[in-house]
Amino acid sequence: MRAIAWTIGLKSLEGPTGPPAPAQAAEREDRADVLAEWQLVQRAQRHDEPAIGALYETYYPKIYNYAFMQMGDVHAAEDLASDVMLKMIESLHKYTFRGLPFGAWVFRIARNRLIDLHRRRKRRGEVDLSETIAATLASPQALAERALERGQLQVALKHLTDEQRQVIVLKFIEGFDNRSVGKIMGRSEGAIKSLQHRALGALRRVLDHGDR
Amino acid sequence: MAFGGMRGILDECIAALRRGESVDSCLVRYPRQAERLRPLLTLAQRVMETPPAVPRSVARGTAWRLVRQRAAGLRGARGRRPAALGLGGAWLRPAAVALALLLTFAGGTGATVYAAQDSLPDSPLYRVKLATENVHLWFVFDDSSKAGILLDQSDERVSEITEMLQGGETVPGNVLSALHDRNERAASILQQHPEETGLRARSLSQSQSQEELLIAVWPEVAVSARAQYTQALAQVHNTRLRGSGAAVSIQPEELSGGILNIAGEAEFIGDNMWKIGGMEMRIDDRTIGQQDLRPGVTARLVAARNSSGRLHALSLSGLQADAPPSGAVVSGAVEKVTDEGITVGGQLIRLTSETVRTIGLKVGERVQVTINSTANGVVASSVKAAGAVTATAQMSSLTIEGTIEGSTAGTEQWIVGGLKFLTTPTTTVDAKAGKAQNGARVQVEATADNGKLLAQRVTVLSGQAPSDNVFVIGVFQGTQDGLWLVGGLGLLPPDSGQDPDTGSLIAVDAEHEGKDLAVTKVKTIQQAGDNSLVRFQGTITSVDGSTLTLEAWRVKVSSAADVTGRATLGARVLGWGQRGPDGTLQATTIRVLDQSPVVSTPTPSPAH
Repeated sequence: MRAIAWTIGLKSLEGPTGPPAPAQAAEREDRADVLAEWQLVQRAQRHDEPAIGALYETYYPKIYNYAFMQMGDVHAAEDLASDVMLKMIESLHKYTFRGLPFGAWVFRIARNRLIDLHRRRKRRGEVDLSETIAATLASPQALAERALERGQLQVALKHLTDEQRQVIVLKFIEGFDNRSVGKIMGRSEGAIKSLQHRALGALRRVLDHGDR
Repeated sequence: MAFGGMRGILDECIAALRRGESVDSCLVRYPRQAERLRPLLTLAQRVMETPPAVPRSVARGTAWRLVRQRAAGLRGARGRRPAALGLGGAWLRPAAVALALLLTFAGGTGATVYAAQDSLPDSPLYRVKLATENVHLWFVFDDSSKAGILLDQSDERVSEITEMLQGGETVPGNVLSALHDRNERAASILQQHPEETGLRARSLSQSQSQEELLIAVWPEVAVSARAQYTQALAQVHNTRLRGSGAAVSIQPEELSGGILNIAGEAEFIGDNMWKIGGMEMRIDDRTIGQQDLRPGVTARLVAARNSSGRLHALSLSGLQADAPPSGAVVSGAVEKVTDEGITVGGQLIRLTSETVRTIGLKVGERVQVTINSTANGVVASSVKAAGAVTATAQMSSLTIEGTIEGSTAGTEQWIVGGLKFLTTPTTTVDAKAGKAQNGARVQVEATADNGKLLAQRVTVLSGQAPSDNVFVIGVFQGTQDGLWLVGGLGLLPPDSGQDPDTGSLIAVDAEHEGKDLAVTKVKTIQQAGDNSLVRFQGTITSVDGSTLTLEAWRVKVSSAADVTGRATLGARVLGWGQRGPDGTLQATTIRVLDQSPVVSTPTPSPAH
């Protein structure tokens, strides 16, 4: 029964010339990765240090990159990544596997932390330095002069809404699927598809403006 | 093509790109949408190929060390604590959580509870977090398990307090109330279970570290949270008293006037009354460590002050026949943050799990670090924001040397060099060099606030100086009504000479002229706008050629440095310096505070 439903699900995505051949293999591979990671998490829940180390090695750089792309501040990104790793370890016992990658749970913590941080900064009246920099660097000439693709992208992302920025970073940089992005952001898969479309359009307009 | 169709095709093509397909091969399948799809897919591919930002290895190493320590702590806690639910209770855990959601958060959602797990005391969701914890406990029927969970929750409160402080927030009342509540309930259960030796030991050790933390964070407690603070502090102190077998307790009201850190020679008066460094206080069986106190020793203690200003010692942290150095204090900008610690003034200061840190650490941030020398090198016992972080705070900071001319009972007010100082709930009194009484020469570090001088630290100095001589260090703020304004204090300017630059840090010798203080001599310590100097204060523990060591803090003193006084072993020093071309800290200004050693037999440090 499950096999039929799975096939029907895939058929509904078929294009005029049929589905791409590697799709099912990739799906299976993804699921195997998720399950392998779940086993690693179970070991970490039993306080197995190599397993904790493996999770740390996987997620610290990812969370750092996620935070850096949103804030553009090395130290703030380091602090947030460290903070999220500690929270991950402290809350690991609360995690239960529901078919989603463990990363979705970790990034959910990171997203909440980021929201708290923005809220706190706003309340303290702090100027978001990265926004100031973005405003300065976003001129076409400045954008054209940016040697680093990452820097250009980071600056351009500042011109998107928070949700558009989130979906670009989570989907295209961190590589999550729609379901996981939806879980992290608290939105449906359909909403993520729409957001992704709008976000790419908005990003294209910002970059085109910068390139002119 | 409808929007829904376009977004579906885009999504499908993006999935294909992620599997390694090319943009063109996807467009072949959708020729009609190809024109609109191409730029979006090309952009998606560019974004996917953007190299990630890579964290610095030092930051990565530091974070791993913290994670590893935390994991080890959790592993230890797990080992000490029995399973939360007994036989047949495994199913109850999810049931408890589910019921908690239903019972506690009527009107709330699962997402609310989920989000609340990470909330801090300043979040509206924090009460949801506390309520969830409480409901969880309803389903734990075994007393020892319940006590273990309560101790965990108490530990979580401490993490929240630390997190708030490191985020630059004050400590609010709700987290202190919750800390008190968890500790009180755990203590109440454990009192009925003397056989739970492991949990009782954990409770005692947790109470000790929490008392130390609470005492250290007093200045950061919100004014509106003082009642909750005294309640939480009294509770942990009483738990420690009970643990030592004492059948007495301290009441929160007895702490309402704040906390004083005092060091000085002990003198017995009678009937549980002592003078420590000349300050009168009660030391009795509610004072932890009091049994070792003898007249004549130098005691370092923490005393609580009640609303009448009377002092009651809470705990003695050190007793020595000879006063040891109590740690150098260094203020300056953080130059580097590594997995080992921070670099200030070119010197690595190690941070350990014992270091009380009340700010986040960032390069360029100005910090005040109390350091000690250990077998592992220079270690910070505390790191906090440098007192004068903002321009306004720098303007209102003062250091004054003068003679005590009077004080009120309970030492809430001191007259030094004709100036009236109020003590605050956190004033530290260092009376190791002599009694803090009339006629004693003292250094007062103070801030000016709405026309009042608030003493932050009072240090009794050895040796005498002319009683009408006052020495002032502060920022020159300009002239007003013919007076120099220095750190908020009005001084009669000298008869001749130019005014210092506004904003520069100056040192002034002054004498009484009627009710005024008249400047007789002025020196500039730091030019306006120059933030490169590091301020240091400590006891000289070694002199090696031109290098002074102040309890592990090394300073090179060249002939270009402005030195006042004779740098002898055991004397205390206040100074400023900056990193020289060779990376060492070069003194620019040094003032030796004591005319004779305060430490009679300092341990010589090895030459560096």
